[in-house]
Amino acid sequence: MSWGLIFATTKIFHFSHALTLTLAVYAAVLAAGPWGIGLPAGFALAAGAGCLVGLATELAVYRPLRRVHASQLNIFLASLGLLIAGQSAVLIAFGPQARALEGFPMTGIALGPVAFTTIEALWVVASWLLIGLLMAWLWRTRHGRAIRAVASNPELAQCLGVDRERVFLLVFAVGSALAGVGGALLALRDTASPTMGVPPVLAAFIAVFLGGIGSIPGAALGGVVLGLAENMGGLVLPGYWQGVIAFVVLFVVLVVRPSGILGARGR
Amino acid sequence: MSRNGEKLLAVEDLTTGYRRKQVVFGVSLEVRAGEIVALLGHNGAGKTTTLKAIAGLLPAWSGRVSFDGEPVEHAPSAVRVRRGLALIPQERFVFADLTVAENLELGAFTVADPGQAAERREAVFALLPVLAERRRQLAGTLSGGEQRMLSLGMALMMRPRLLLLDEPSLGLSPLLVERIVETIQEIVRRERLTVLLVEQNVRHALAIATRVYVMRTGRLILEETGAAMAARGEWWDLF
Repeated sequence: MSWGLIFATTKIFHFSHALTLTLAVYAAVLAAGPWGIGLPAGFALAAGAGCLVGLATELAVYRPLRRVHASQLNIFLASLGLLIAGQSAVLIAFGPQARALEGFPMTGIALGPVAFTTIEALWVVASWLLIGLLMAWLWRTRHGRAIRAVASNPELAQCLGVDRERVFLLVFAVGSALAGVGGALLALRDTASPTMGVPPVLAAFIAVFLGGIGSIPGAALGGVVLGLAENMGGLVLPGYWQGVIAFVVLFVVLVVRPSGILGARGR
Repeated sequence: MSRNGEKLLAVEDLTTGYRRKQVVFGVSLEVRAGEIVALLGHNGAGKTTTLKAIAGLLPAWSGRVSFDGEPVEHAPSAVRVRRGLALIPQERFVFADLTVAENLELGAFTVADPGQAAERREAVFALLPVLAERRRQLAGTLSGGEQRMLSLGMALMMRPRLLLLDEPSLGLSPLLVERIVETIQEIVRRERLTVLLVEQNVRHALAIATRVYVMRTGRLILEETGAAMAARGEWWDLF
């Protein structure tokens, strides 16, 4: 969702969003573990660190590239390069072993035949809450409207006095903070590692293309469709087929409806 | 506020273009408060490019652009909009996937006072009732003429001191063009707007313009009053 917000608004294929997520999670791990300031503070720190990393990437990498009219492909390659360099730096600083984000009580909950853990319950509640807040912000506030205006038609937004560069900064700040919180939520169960950011960003990128490029609600819907397809598929196929299912769904949607589920037709 | 007749926009020896390709070669023009000036010329003569440079969507390579006596050629477009210099572009002039009401609200993006924005919206709905009927509809689902009406509504929300209009009649049927021209005249009269208009359709431009400039291959080749231009009757050799 946060990757979709950034992509829809800025049209930057922000692959190093994975790095933002990883760095934010390591900040949370340090906070909750060695620094001992507790898990809630760890989440706040993940949001803050994510926000700072995202802003720094936009200011130090993307903005100078835009200024020299770099193509979308060049910007994507720069983003990929930054991700690889960043992952290596994390590897050097923290070592290859996975680190747990500790402090959340995990117990099993059984509702009839359905069994899940407290962490998974937290995931569901927190992600819907964050999506709801993000949508409310985008649809109800002046800044949100400016963001959707830039996503829809950047030149016209500029004609009406919307400062595009400032909207980009805002989107990177909010999107990266969300990625930090999302990453910390993931790390509660799956631990932190230098490459942990890549699968969620790949999933986000599939979800965005499923839902329709440039459509922010489409990105959320695409995420739901993708999650359902993977898990329903898991009922009949072995678990390691999940990745295959994701790309098959993407392939089918791109063939049947190239603009995505909620994408604009015939534009 | 500048009084009628005062120089509102002065462009001196402006050159600009896209990346390495120069399109405009030294254009000088001025617009006085209360005037409706038309910039005419062939497809590819550099009219749209000139407007974009005045609005700040394209950087000026050299030359000066001053608005109300102050140089603005290095100011970002958002600053120019706040000072009252606004462009309605030729293509993609509405936010297709936002509603009509949201489009209008974005028109008033630089208006800080929400009460004032609401007041202006009611004025727009009174002048263009079709927009009030369709306020919850996505702008992309409106007809071509209605989208033009919406873009004029957005200009009314902005209420700039100088409105730059890029080919408002493009792609419309003759009947609709007439309605748009009437609406522009109505808006100009009511709000006492100053307008710099780009047109390919000479007849429609002459119907509303007080003064015209003619451009060819990136240069101005003629300046005349609207009446003198209409009396010429043989503009074709100019293009």
